[in-house]
Amino acid sequence: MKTSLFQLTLRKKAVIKNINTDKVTKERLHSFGLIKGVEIAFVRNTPLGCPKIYKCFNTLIAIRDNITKQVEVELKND
Amino acid sequence: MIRLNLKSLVKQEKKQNIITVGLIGNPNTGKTSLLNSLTGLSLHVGNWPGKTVEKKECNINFQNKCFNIVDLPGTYSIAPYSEEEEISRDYIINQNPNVIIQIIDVNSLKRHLLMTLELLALNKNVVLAFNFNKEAQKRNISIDIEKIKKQLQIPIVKIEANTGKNKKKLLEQVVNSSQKIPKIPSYLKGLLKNKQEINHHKAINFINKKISPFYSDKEQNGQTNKIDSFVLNKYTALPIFLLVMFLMFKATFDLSAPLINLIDNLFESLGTIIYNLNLPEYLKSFLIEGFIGGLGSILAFTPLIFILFFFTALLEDSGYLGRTVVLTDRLFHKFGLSGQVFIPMILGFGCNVPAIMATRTIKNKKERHIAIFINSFVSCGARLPIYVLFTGIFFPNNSSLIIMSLYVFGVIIAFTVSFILSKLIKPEEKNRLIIELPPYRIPTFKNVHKHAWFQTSIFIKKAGTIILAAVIIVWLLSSLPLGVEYASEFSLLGKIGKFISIIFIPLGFGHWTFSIALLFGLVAKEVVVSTLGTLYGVSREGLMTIMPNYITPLGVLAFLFFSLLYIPCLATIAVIKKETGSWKFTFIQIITTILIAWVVSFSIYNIGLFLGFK
Repeated sequence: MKTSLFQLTLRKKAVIKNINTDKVTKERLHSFGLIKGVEIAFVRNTPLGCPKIYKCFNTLIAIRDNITKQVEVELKND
Repeated sequence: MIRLNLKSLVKQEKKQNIITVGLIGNPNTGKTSLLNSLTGLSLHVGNWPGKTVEKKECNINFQNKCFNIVDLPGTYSIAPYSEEEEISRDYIINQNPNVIIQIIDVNSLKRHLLMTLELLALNKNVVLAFNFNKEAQKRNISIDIEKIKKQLQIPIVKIEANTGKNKKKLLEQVVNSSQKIPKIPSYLKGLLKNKQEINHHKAINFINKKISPFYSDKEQNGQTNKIDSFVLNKYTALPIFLLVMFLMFKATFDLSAPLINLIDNLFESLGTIIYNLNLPEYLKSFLIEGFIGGLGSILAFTPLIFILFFFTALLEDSGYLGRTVVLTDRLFHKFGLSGQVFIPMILGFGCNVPAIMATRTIKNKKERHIAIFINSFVSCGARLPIYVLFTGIFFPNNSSLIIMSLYVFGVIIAFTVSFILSKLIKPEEKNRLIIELPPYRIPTFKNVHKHAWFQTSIFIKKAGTIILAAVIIVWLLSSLPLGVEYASEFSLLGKIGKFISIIFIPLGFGHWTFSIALLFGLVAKEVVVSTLGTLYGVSREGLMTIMPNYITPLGVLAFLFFSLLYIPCLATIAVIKKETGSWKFTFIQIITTILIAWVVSFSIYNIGLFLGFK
């Protein structure tokens, strides 16, 4: 099922399908390994709710909601 | 002819013996540790030409070769989207180093290899230094280095940057690689987007297909996950955070206080010795008030800066710094900034000088400039004596309330200005906060104290010269014309003060003593109090009885808000210049703070008058 990274529930994994941000943000996400086809997990919420913490290639990355809303993912069933 | 040939031969010989090396890597990979262990303390620091980003380089000798090692900014990519990335890319393409060492944290190997492929696309000799192998072993991460080497077709050396393990092996490999002509590996051609850039999607597929079989990372972040469940937990995050901030603040300012006193006393005794020497008066005055005073105020900052950088390095190396950003980001985002501004802001309550230096952890240039700009509105410790003196005399029953309002008002102004500035100059990163939270690691004393020494020495060299020059200029203005009493109303600075006192009449403190005190407050804000004492020719206690003759309580309130907001002290100005690299920025800040201070004090005084206060 396709959804946005923002809507991913806690401790669920997904595969990145599309990044619809501006070019610079996209490049920045790429350099952190967030690339189409890569698996990403939502691992932790923060006390103020934003940014949220994701895990990608064994690295923890904090990303703001306004960006995760623009990242399309497909849920992984496991 | 012969001589020319000989010269060129020698030149060629020299060239063959110099190996230029670019050291590159993501943040948190141990790059600084590796640099420290390779070079000791022999680093040369400057700025990249035309940039404010620090450039560190050093020359070392190994196996009869001279290595020129240049530390490239820590970035996640060399695609030219930020100043740092541009610098790295420019250096690699235009300076054409013989070898590039990329340092890699093997705990997240696959992500790091993306940058490796970017580097290879530029057709360079790349040597990979795999770091944190021990940690990976503990986390049950298995890596078949030989196989990975074969797949990538480039040399790999396993190191431990913290202990310096295998650094010789790494240098030997660099010598070897430097003798080869760089060649783009055959597999890379299929991964290119254009001549020099890789297609990330294809690159990650390549890594998944060719590297994944030899690398397994099944571990679920055991230790880091456990610590984060406290540090980022809804209930415990805030208490832990406040405790860490409190300890850092206390430690920085309390530990440095006795050292600062010691330095002050030392310089005072030096002053006494000179005072008793048989020297002409003006020379004595220059040596004591100008030279020693200036030198003293530079050195008095050094314990503060050393301890501050010691603690920020502890926070950074332990992995907690990133968490503080995450915890405060939502609040700061509302004002056009990110959580990275929080620590500098907190430190500003102690002293704006180290606080502005601490903005170095903010990677985006525009956001950093805003953070520097607003820091001087955060009320530093040196302004407190002014508040205490005046509120004690004029508002003995409400003094804590007024002092607290001053602190809060400073923060409100800081946030308001940052909100306006972020709308005006649009830091393109403000909506783009994406940060890595590195695994928690125990910092090594060696790295932390080296980092602190290093930053302190830069402060002494760079900001120190500006502070010394400024203090000497103030001395000149306070001692001229010849024979005048130092810092009196008849000195040049006194005359200037008298002249400008006219602009303070609508603010309720038009008496010339106040404008002179504010001028001398430039040297350091606490000087405002002692200057008033000198001008009235009374002690601190004497001020209490004499001052109500010259100013009303409402005027005092306006004066206090003016002292809070007007031009930062000379040392802060010097650091602003040093950190932004721009006199224009520094002057704009000076003018803006005066304007804001004037408007605020004017409003307070006149609204007060309108409401019937005196």
